[in-house]
Amino acid sequence: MLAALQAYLLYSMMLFFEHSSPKRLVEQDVMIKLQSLAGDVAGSGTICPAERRDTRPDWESWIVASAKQRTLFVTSMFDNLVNFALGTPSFIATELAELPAPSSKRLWESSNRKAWNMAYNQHLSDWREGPFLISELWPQADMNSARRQQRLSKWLSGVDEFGMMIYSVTSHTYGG
Amino acid sequence: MCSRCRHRNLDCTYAGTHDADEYLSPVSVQDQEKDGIPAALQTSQPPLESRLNSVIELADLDFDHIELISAVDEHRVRARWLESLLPSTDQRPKAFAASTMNFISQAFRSYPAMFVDEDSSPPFIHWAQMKAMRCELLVSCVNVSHMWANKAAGTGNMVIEIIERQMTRLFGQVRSPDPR
Repeated sequence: MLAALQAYLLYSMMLFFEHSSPKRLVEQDVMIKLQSLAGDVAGSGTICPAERRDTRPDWESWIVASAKQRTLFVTSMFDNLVNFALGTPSFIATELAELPAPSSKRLWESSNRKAWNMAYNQHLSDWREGPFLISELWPQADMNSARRQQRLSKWLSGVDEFGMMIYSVTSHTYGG
Repeated sequence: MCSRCRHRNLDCTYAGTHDADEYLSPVSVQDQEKDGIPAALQTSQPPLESRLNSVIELADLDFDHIELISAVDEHRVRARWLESLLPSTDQRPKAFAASTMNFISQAFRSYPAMFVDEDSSPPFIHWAQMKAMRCELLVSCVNVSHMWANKAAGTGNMVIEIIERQMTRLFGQVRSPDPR
């Protein structure tokens, strides 16, 4: 199911960029199907139970969960992009608020179980107060508090280019 | 047992063994279509040695027992498209600047082309999905992405047709009573 969404998302992007005329942008039907596939992915689970208990999940479950989270973020941003091109409004995807922000480069790129276990143990040690959530990048009352800045800095220090892209967009859009 | 495993005292009999057989099978030179993509536009196979290395490194990944729980309201995800037409009263608008949208656009435009290198993929696809799961849907997508990123001038309509055919096929496959 995840691979279906990822492939459909990439095909949708290719269509979007292939159509030079704004009138021939991605059809509404494509976006409805894309978000239907995203709903399937969301409905089959998006985080590891161990993450809720602040313990280490198995590597395979974490890989699938992380790929699902990233794919849902990109699907939402692609929806924003299509809306912008069509002149229709976009809204904060509050349904994704409980998802962790994109994981660190070290976790995402670990090439073997031992390296990933070590990286995750460090992650648990670094985030004893709970993981950094995607919603912490959105507008909030304590945007400039010392605690929020400290958590943001810690998250940014470990992100890969995808995490930095997400931060760039939210920072340009909401400040912070 | 291959010489590499013998040298390292490794057991060759793991889940990816069928891949090694696949790599060693003769390559057809016939001009045939696969997944609706002309043979001339399909991605070439990487060198045998590098593909066997991948099989060896992935021997202990097992995706048959994934355990996940929900943290997202799937119904709201499905209805996202409707929000731009009939927004709910509790929605918080995003005021995007044109420069931000241009930034996202440029980033996303690069994603399909990231498949061109065997060892890279868009940043929302984990390397293990490509190397260990080897999902048919993503393999087809790699081929189409390669074609899209390297298309010749004047072939835009043909490319669109192939992409739309793939999307129809994919969605039909997923939504069929017996999805494979």
